[in-house]
Amino acid sequence: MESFVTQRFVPVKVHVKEQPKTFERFGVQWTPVLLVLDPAGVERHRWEGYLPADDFVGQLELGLAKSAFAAQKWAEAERLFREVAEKHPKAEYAPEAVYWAGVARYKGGDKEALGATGRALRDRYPQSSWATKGSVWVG
Amino acid sequence: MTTPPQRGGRGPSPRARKASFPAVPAGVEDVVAIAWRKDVDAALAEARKADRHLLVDFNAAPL
Repeated sequence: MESFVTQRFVPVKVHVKEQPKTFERFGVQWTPVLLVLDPAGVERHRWEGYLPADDFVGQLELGLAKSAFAAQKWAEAERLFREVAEKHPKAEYAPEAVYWAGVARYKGGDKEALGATGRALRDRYPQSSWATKGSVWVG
Repeated sequence: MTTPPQRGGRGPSPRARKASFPAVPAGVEDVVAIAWRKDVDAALAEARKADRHLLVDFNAAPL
């Protein structure tokens, strides 16, 4: 985990008693909260609470995928979202990753991607709200 | 980290035995080993220069 963080991120710790204005600046009202910002400083992902190492890395990967999506790097975003879903299939964020992988693929030009994604969500994560969101794509 | 035995030497409490996470989750040592910065703006400049993302941990851990 350390190498993943240090290779991909510049890590910063902000303590509520030492830097309350930084909390205000980023709209953080509770702890712990973790943010992923892209290299330009734009927030791309946040989550609350410390997690086991595997899920912590999964959230970081999700943040990188969202950043690629925001940059309209559709193929890269799809690949990163799929990696999240495949590496952490039982994580609560896995169906979200499947959903956005499908959207990225659609944005990349595959008009069949949404239907396939809706069916995948229905089959693999039927109880997930992401399956509900994707249900409109299933004909 | 181990849970101290209860009075009477019965070992960890039922609650401790049921805990789904160990007291110190796997990977915590790695988090401790990370060279965390404290200045967000300096870190932003570093991230921009290195084309890396920023991970910001807002916390209230005991100082």
